[in-house]
Amino acid sequence: MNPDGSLRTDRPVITSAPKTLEQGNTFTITLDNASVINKLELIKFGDATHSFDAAQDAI
Amino acid sequence: MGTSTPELYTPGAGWQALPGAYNADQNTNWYFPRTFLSSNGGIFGWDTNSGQLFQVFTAGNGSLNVLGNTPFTANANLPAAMYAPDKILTIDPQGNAWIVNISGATPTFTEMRGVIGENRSWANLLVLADGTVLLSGGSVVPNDLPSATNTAMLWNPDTGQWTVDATANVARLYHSNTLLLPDARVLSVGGGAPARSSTSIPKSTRPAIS
Repeated sequence: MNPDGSLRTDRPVITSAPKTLEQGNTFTITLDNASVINKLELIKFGDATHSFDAAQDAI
Repeated sequence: MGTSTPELYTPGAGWQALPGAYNADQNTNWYFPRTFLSSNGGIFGWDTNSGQLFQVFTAGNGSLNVLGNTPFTANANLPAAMYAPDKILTIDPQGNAWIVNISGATPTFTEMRGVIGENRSWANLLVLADGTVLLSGGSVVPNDLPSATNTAMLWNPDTGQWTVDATANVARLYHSNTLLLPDARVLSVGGGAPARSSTSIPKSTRPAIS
C-alpha cells in the first residue's frame, strides 16, 4: 500500500541522530532539509504478532 | 518463569524476574496482553479475554497495580496501537473503536460507536508516518475467508474521522501483519484461512514417491 506522501521525492533525509535514547532525554536530529516538515513522528521498526506490536509506542 | 511473572531485560546485564509484579489473572488469561509504555515509566496493559487493566512498574522486584476492567470485550484477535503518547486506539468485537487514555492514575475510555460496524478479528492497526492509523484486514468470524473485510480504513487522530481507504486483493487474517517501511509505504503480509480442506489442493499436482 502507498499512503499519501509515501511517494514524494522531496522527503528529508536524517543526517545525524542519537543511537540510543532513554525516557526523559532531550535529543537532536539533524536533517538535510527540515523546512518541509510540519510534524514529527518517531516510529520504531515494527515487530508484530497476533494483531499486536508491543514495541509500537508513540513518544 | 511462567506467563504470570514479568521479566526485565537489561542490555549487558541479562534477564531478571519481577516477582513483585506477579499477576494471577495471567495464569489463565495469558495470551498476548496489550501492553504500552506510559509516560510515567510504568507499563500499562490489559489481559485479553478477561479485560483486566493493569500497570507494572519495574523498580526493585517489580510491582503491580490492578485498575479494573476494559468497558469492552477484550480479545487477543483484536488490534491496538498507541498513536500518541499515552493514547491508544483499539477496536471491539462489535466494530466500535475506542480511545484509551493512560495519562492519569486510572485509564479513561472514549467510544467511537458504529464507525467500523463489524468485527475485524485478526485485523491490524498501524501508525503511519504522518500520524494517521491504518486499520486493515480481519474478518467477522475469526480467521474466516467468507466474512473477511479487504477494505482498509484510515483514522485521523486530529479530526477523529474514519475514512475508507484502499482495498486489498486478498484477505489478511490469522497471523497477518502490517509493517511501516522506511519510505512510508506499508507492507501487508500473511495470514490465515483457507487450506483446512484437502479439496483445495488438486491431487494431480502432488508429487509421487517413485
